[in-house]
Amino acid sequence: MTIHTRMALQMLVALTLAFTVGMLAFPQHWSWVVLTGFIVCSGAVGRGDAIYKGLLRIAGAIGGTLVAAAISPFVPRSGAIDAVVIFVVLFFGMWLRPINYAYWAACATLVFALLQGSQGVAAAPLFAIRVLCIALGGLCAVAATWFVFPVRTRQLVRKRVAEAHAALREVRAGADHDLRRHLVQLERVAPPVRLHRALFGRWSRAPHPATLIEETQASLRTAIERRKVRVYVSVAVSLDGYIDDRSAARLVLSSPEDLADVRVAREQCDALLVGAETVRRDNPSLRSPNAARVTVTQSGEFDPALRFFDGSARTIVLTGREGAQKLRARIGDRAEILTIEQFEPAAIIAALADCGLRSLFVEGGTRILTAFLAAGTFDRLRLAIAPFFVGEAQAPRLVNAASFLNDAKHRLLLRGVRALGDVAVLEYEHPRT
Amino acid sequence: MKTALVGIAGVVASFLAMYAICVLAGVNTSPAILAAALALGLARRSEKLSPRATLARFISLPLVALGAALVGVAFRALPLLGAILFCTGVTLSIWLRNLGERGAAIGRLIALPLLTMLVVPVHADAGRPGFGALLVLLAGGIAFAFTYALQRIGA
Repeated sequence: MTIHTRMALQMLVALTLAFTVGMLAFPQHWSWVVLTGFIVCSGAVGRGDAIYKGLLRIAGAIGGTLVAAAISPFVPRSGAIDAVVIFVVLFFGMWLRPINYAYWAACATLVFALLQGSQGVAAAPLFAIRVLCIALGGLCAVAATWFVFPVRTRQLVRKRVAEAHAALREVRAGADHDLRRHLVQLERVAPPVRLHRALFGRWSRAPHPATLIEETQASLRTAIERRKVRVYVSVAVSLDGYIDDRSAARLVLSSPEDLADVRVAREQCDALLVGAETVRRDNPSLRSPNAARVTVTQSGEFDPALRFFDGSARTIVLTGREGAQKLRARIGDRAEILTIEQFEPAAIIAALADCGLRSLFVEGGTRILTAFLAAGTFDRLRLAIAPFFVGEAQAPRLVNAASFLNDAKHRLLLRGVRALGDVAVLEYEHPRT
Repeated sequence: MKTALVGIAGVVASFLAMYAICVLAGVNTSPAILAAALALGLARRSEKLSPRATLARFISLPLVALGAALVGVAFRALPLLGAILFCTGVTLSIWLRNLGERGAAIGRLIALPLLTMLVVPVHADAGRPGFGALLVLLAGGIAFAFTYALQRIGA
């Protein structure tokens, strides 16, 4: 049985009970019993949640009743003034509802009291009946969630905590998960459990489920914070979309002005990333003050004499388990060797975030650019266009054929166009940013 | 704060528009309270709708409100029948979530007028049932139009 079918059946039983009790005991006010039965049962994720919502509704009704009794002597009896006061109370109810449902319940009770007052109905005797109706409606809903395909709150908490920990493990292994969704799901089951801890926690020796929820939420928040790495992709291309030619020497596409601008952008990042093939072929030094040098390799095949490993800056190599063994033997302590399970942007970002790096400057080559651009794993893209053609079919292009997240229907945002010497520089922003 | 301001603006605008219509028509003003209550329910959920979905919602909400008003009439004439229709409608609105986001949206559309009818029973003009039905349709249309327009402006 699906969760929605279970909730629908619980609602059917709650409403049937509420109609029966309401129509038999309060023929004039049965709707109050039914409405409360609906509100308390609606969306109740477990038995504890239904009890908690019932208590909030009763507390709100009592609070609203007391406020109504306190202010009613001071509200002049006039249709227009009543309407204005009712709308002001409704506004406060809507504003405060996200903080706690009890505020909305209090405001709704106050509105009813003002409406009845404007119709000349003696309010005081009705308030007691109203609170009684609400209590009975709440009991009908609690009974339905308690006995009809019940979900125990403790089991629900364990399930949500286990799901969150599984997501955390997968994220640490490089998978892409929406951790915020788990935070929200845990928060949905937390209020009744926290109330239980406040009332009965002192008698329990085992860690309370509320503590379990809070510890898991703390882990999720830390993981989310760690994953906040800003990614800046920078690349220069020829007019026909190549980033290099087939010659051994590196093709210079940028103008001096463009190179100076790239240097400034690099200095604002914590790490510079290039692919293993670029490290081997171009032998770049990738020097930038305060920035770590990063590369990704599956094979772990590197010549230790490359400038990348000259020890002049923090150097990080991301690789698999086999690659890590080779690299430790060849390069030793000239680089930090980190293992990742998947060679995907999300895993690369997660590993760098764990190293305390918060911004990444991605420079190439084609495989790295394709991976980051296809997955949409970037905040900004800086594209410098050199005023000439390469025209070699086998030369490396900006990207390989791939399925790109930003297709014709999901376009990037153009944020700037500049001329730096004879190079045109286009700045794009990812819509998500 | 902004969501609440936009929401209450929709409630007030719906109430005043429907109140003016009722006063001009010389009928009971309870449809104005119905419009305000419907706007209040709609304000809780701000959705980005396509033009087609907006039109569909604009047409269907008044019709569903009319159906709920008939359930309200059943409550007064045959309370047991009204209760059965109400329970069935609300249960169905939850079960429809099994059919995905579209089913959930239809479910919300069914549940809102039913619950509103519970809070604000509309006093139908016994002599002119057709005119009463028209007022309920208008209340649904006005509540949706004002809430949607103000949410667009406030977005």
